[in-house]
Amino acid sequence: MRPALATACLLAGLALAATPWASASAQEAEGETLYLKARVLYTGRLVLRDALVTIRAGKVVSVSPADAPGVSIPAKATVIERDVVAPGFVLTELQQGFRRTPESLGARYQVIDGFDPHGRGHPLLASGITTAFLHPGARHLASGQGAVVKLGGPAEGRVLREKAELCLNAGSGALGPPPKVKIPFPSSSDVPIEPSQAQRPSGRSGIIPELTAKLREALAYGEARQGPAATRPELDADLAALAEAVLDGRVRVEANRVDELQGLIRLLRELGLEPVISGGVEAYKVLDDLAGLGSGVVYRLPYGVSPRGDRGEGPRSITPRWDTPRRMAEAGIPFAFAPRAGEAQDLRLGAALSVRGGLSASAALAAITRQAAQLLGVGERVGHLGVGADADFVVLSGEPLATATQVRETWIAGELVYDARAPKRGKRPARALVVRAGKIVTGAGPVIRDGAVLVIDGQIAAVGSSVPVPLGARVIDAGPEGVVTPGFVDAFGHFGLQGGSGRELAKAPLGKLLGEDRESTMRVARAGVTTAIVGPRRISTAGGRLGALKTLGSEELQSDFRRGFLLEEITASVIDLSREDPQGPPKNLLARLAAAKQAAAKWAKYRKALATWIQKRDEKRNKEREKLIKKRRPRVKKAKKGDAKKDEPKDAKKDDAKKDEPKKDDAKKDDSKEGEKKIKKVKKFDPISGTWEFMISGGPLPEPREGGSLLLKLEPDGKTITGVIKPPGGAGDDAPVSGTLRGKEVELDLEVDSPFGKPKVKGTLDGEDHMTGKLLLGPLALDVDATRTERSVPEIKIEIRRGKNKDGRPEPPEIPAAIDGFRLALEGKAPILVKVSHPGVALAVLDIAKKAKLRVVFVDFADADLIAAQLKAAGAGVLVRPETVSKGDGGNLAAQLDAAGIPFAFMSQTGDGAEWLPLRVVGAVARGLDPGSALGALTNDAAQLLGVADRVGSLEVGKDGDLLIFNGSPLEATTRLERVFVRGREVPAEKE
Amino acid sequence: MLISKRAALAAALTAALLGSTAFGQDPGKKEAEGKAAPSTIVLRGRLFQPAQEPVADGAVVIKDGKIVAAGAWGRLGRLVPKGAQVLTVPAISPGLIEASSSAGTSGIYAEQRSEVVPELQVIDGVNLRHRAFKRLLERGVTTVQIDADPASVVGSQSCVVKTGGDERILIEAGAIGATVGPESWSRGYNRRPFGSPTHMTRRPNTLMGAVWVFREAFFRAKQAEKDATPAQAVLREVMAGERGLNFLARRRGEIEAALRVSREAGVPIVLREAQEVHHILDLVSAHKASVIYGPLQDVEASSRRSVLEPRLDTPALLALSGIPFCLTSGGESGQDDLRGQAMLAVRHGLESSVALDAVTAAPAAILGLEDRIGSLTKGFDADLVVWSGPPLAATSKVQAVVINGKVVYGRLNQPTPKAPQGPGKNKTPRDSKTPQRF
Amino acid sequence: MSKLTTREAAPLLAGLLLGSFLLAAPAAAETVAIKGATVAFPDGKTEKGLVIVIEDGRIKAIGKEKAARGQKPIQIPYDAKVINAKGKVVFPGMVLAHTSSGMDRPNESVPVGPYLDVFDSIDPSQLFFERSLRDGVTSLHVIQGNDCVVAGLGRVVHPYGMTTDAMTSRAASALKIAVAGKRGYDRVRQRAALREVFAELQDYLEKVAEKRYEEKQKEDEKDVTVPPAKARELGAALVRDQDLDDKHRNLYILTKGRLDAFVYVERAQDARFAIALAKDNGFLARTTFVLGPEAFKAVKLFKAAKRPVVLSGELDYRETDPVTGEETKVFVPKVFADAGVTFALQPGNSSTSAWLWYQAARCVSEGISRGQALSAITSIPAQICGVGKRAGNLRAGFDADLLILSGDPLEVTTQVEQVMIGGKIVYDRSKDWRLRKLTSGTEKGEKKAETPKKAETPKKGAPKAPKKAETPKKAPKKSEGGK
Repeated sequence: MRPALATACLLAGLALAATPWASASAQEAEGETLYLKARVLYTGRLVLRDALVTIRAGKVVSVSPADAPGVSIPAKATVIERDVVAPGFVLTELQQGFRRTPESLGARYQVIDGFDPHGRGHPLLASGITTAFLHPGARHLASGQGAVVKLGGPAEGRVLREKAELCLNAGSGALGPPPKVKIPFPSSSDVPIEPSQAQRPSGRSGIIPELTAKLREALAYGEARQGPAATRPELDADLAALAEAVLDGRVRVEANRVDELQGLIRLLRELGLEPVISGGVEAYKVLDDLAGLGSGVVYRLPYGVSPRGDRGEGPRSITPRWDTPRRMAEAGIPFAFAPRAGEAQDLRLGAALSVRGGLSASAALAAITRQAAQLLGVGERVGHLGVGADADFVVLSGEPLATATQVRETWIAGELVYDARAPKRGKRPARALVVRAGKIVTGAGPVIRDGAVLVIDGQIAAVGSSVPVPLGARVIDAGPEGVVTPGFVDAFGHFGLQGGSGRELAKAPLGKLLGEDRESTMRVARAGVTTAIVGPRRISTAGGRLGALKTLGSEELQSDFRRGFLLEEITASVIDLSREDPQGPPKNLLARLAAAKQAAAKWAKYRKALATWIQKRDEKRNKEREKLIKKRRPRVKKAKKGDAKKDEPKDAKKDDAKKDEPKKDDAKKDDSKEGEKKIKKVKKFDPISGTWEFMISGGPLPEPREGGSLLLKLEPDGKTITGVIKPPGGAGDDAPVSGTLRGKEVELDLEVDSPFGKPKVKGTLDGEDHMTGKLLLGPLALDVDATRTERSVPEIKIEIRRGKNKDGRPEPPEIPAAIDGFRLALEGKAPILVKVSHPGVALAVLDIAKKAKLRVVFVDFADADLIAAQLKAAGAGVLVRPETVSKGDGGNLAAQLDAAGIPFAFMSQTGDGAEWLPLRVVGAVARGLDPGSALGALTNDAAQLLGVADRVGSLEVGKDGDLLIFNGSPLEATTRLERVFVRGREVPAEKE
Repeated sequence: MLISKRAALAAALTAALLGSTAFGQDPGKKEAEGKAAPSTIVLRGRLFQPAQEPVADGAVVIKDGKIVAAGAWGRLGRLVPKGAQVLTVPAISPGLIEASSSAGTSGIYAEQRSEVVPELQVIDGVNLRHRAFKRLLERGVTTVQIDADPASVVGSQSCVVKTGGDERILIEAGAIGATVGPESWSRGYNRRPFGSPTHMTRRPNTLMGAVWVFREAFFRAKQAEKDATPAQAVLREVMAGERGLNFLARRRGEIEAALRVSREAGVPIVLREAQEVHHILDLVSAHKASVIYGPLQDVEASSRRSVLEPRLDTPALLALSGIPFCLTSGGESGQDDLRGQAMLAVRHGLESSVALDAVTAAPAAILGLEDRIGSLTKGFDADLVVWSGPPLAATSKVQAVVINGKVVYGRLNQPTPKAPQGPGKNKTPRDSKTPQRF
Repeated sequence: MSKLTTREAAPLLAGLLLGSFLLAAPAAAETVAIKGATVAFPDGKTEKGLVIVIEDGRIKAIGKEKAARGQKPIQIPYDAKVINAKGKVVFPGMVLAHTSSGMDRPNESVPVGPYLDVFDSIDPSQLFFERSLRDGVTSLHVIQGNDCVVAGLGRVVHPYGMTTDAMTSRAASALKIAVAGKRGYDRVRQRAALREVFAELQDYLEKVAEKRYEEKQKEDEKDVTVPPAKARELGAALVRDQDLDDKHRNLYILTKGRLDAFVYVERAQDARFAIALAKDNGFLARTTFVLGPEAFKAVKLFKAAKRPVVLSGELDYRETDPVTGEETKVFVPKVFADAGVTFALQPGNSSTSAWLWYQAARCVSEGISRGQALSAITSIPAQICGVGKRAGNLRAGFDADLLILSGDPLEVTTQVEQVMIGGKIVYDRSKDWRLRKLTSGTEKGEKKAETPKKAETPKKGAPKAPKKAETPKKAPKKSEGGK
């Protein structure tokens, strides 16, 4: 419809020039004023670009071009700027369910009686329909009197016409009304119930005659009622209503097939009536007669997108034509569109379809706005946005009749009554985001020019030169200059670890580190770093693990903060080999790998056990099912529900078990089996073994508290202590305890999670069965006082009281995170980060890696360029600080690695200092690093090296929606980072 | 009760020591709120403590979701830190505790496959976002025990949750439920068999039948040593006193039966509802059973309900007889249900401070949480209700509810309820839900 | 409540009513004086040490015994039976503006029955009346339920008396009309039916008018010359009530504005039609609107109509937003109080809100003035039921329907100790056998039942002491919890 639009604009221009902008005097309209700025405004007659509509007290008081002279918007006025604005659509037929009462001629019934002006959230508002003709249903000869109402807005103003057209029916709908029964009161032997009377019409040929008869009768009735009692007809509400309607010219007749139409037209000519004709599917066959009749047509769109049956052959079949509207327009018959019952939401689409038949787009639009309103007799108030009209309008995402266009908002009387973005009942608001930009650096594959990215619920759903725009999506246009890149990855930092050496990391689940967004975390996100690989501040020679966090909490933060930041609990393991002897093989590494092997074995065992267990359980369940089926009787239905209920949780668990495998969050402690096996009687006096009851006091505790009981056992070696702590009551799980005994000094580690890591007990044995000491927990130091109540060597056994695994499901093995990292490495699921200083060690590591098929990444390895060849051969990567200078020739290390073709990534090795990482990289670029590979190193390469490439690093479908919007090419000192999105959630701007 | 007590201690321990959310992420919060939110907050006003005379000018000092101190304003003295923000309010009481409810569940939530399902946990069927909790909040209830559906003779494990705030679950799997009265067959599939019984129609359908099922379950559990089924394992915990038993028994006969079988099984019990307990107070106190009593029935009600001889002054009698008891609205709907029960009790002779006790500290004790909630005490969770007047006066209403130190309902300045708005002006649920913090 | 029980109980109760109450009542037409009473007036004021002199069942005078400036002192007649109400609170008997309890069943299945009268349906022996007395309600407007198109006449009764006649304080109080759909009717049909009722009435009246005119002409030995339409017009003036048949008489009286109407408006969407119906048929000036919980949304219309409303017992209206699913709550009386529409309260169905005074107390708690709240259960319902000049307040000339309370009417602990209707003590809590059965099986109970406040002082410590003993682990916590 571009040409149409163009001409319309032209017209608009002329009109602008011609008419001085009329505006209603300010006095008569009170209430606060609303200014609507529209990029494209369809007033109903004109199409204006950049128009300003002033709305006061729910009415349009002026329309003008935004920049027209003399137009000024007060400072504090409410202004809304929208894209495309059109008048609210007018639905010329909304069937409000059928009348149930039996009268064939039910003229007395009024639809308005069933209308609730206080109702909210009408579903049709979502398709932009603001005004509708309530239709009593085409089921009887006369189904009742319609009404014209608004579907929303202030209750007072909703009823436009209380008594609108009386709906008659010349079509098959009128056939076969139920027999009428009149029950007298009180009914008795002398006042019997009369037999029911059949009503007409019962055959097609009877419809028109019956209609004629009733109409004549009605007209006569009025006269007769004036006559004397003797001749005066009985009161008949229906005839009275019919007469009234005919005299007021409030009649609408339904007729679709050509025979119906012809009959009707004949009848109308006879009586000289010109009612609205609804239906008119075959109107094209009687155009001249219709035109002569001079009555409008509510044309029921016979085509639409909903499924239909076959039309069949023969006289009963009805043949719609695409071009009927066009021909009616040509014949000068005023018409409006009405979708078939139940397809009202497709009104706009139906109108668009009629353009196929050659109707002009503007006419089609008019047929659901201005024309329709006029046909309903409310053309003054609605259907257009001229001065004085009601401020009922829709905000669209594009041209009104374009198929892809969506309704964004619907307003009635200047009040927002539908907002596509408003959260829908029951479910979280759909979080769809579309970012358009002149240049999109996907990080994988080519750069897309003039492309867009679609993010749904935090995940990238589409990338390309054009993407679908879902209903209610937030659309951001970065403009032709704008550049969109993936979020940056800090390859190794301490994000979220406040102080400390990162012991938390070794023990506590990573997810617990960050509760919620803070200024410090947001600063990092604002700088464009959306993913942070988190590792210990001091890399231990014994090795540790790395995890991955997002730098901004996700929307689910409220419900579950663990999912809020966590990306991956264990992404890689890290070990410090810088102090290893370059000659010999790196012992620590080998030790770790050995341990990891065992762990891997445990896991394998566990998986096997689980598999068999699941199999057994399923068999059992099937048996039960069969039993039930055998027993089943007709009335059993519900029993299955009971069963299903029983099954669900288990199935759910099964999935979890698979998913959570590598995680240790909810892993149950069960390393006791070995313990049980080698219980021995200890000959000499054993100061430890037995049951200890202990009390805890001090610190934040208001008063001493029962700390529960400790079951301890001194291992034969007389040093090591194993045991279990039983927190009192069923609230906490039992937790394993390990420790050492040196003379009288006792040290215990309690395997209990807490934000401050695991609590530790340091105590001294004062007396045979008594111990005092401190319980250390992060900042806290609490007094512990324990007494041994039972000396016999206890059976160390862990009881899980939560009853999660009552069904005998095998427990996943409990393995310290550090080791688990190496296990994953062995299984090829994660890389190993190695800190080396001497190339020799590096080489040693490389060939271990080669044997064990490990992916190795060197951390902060200033000599990397010396063994560039080997590194390249082994495909090992390097993590560098952007400013690191190579020992070799004082050049920037990154630049050299890049030149040598060795994959590398940037690490900040700071906490919220990661904020400065991108700037430091700019620095590297200034020192000769190629911007392209610098960007890669900040995004995809980092993700690849750290094994998180399945979630972040590039703009690909299925990955996290981490987007950066630059106003120029990124890593350019002059370029500004405009916006940052983490998982589709925008990072809040800084507070002044 | 032993178990539940230990549970409480454990909860308290874990809370104080292993860091409740408030504890763990506190620094973050402070940062997020900036200067606007001092970590310590003081509420000053009439202080209503369970079983005590109200303090005319009292105050509660809250820090990190816990109560630091509570008492007469004059005495608090240095306990109120410099710069702490002091809010003056009309009246303060501990959050009410509903000891018996089915909030957050829908329809029949009992497992229908068996009469004996102690291994199941009610919590699994509870929707913590259910609007029932919001309504309880509006009425000043901060903690609620969700019992097993009475449709099973030996029901599943109840749970205790808070009605708002972030750390909702207090006891994940607590006492198991039990019923021998008609409730065990009047609902769901287990209804009284009519016509020819199918396998759908569950036995038992008489008191003796139900009692027999109960006996058998516990007997078998006793016998099962090593090879105890999950269900039996739980019953063994109950017998070992590690887990409580909430016995729903309304009519006299049921109460007696309940006491009898529980003694046989050697299980300490809590009687739920116990409408006709007034007949056998001595027996109950002899059994050392505690009572969750309610709902109090009015003259009219008596004809509606299935109870033969209701009494209006039972709470008073319970108080006199020294049986540990608390009040419940027993699912009785209507505005301020639990508080309504307390008011009824007061109207029929219970002294009002005792009545307040019976909906705060007493239920806390019966749930075994007397070290954490139920009164305004140093170290307790900061769960409290701000009233526009005395808590049990009909002319006062809930102004605000505080859970774990956060206002989760109402405002401390303007108590008027907000009118419904058109979708136009609608705030997104998140806005309306985010708790206003001090 | 279950019909069965009442049926069985009926004879027994009748006996007991006679037994327990009548004996207590002094012979009629005796002069009674209530001394030293603290009087709580519906306008919210409370005055101490007033004297109320009652003669022939009416309040003769109310005021101070000692002459304050400006007023003349009240003499207690020498022969007056003096009731010393020191420390007690006297409050007008509460009035229930709209109820279908006390009838054998609330609704008649005949959709249009203006010829019906609840008189024939009221069962004096129903528990309901006894309970009303116990709760201090002295006037009840019993009228057909809401499940009708046009229902019969209502009647204002005292909850006391052996026969309906004896109970009646105002017969033919109002005609009930429902705008919301009767069972099996949708709104469209209901309203069509209502329109037809009045159209048919009009038609019938015209017939009668024409007949009357002809008769008149006959009497005057003239013959009818004017056209029928004219005849009807002239005849309209001649129509007398007795000319009409049962089906139409009450409606006719209604449309002539000689009868009150109670119009049930279930939802806000019914308000406009209801008001229009009343206006068009000339009884708006005598209409009271009985509202459903949601009808408050049309408060503007009711204000414009300048008519009082009777609120539903459910004072909180909860609504779930169709779009967001968010739940909002509105306290309905506040809406009307703010809009300045006079309203009466009805009891709800929870065990607390079943008391009228409690509903009033809730209004106070939600910020409605005490005066407004108290009058919403006394003077306003009295006016609405057309007994405003006799009941619902304590003024000279009013019926002596009053309550002797143990404390302020809105206190939880307050009990109705005695109820006086028409100058007779018709209820005495200490003689309430049913209540005793419910509260005082033991002598402890008895004490409590009679004087709840007194009993507390000794009891205060009592319940706690053994409690501590019972649960030692709990006791220390509690004690320390206090300090």
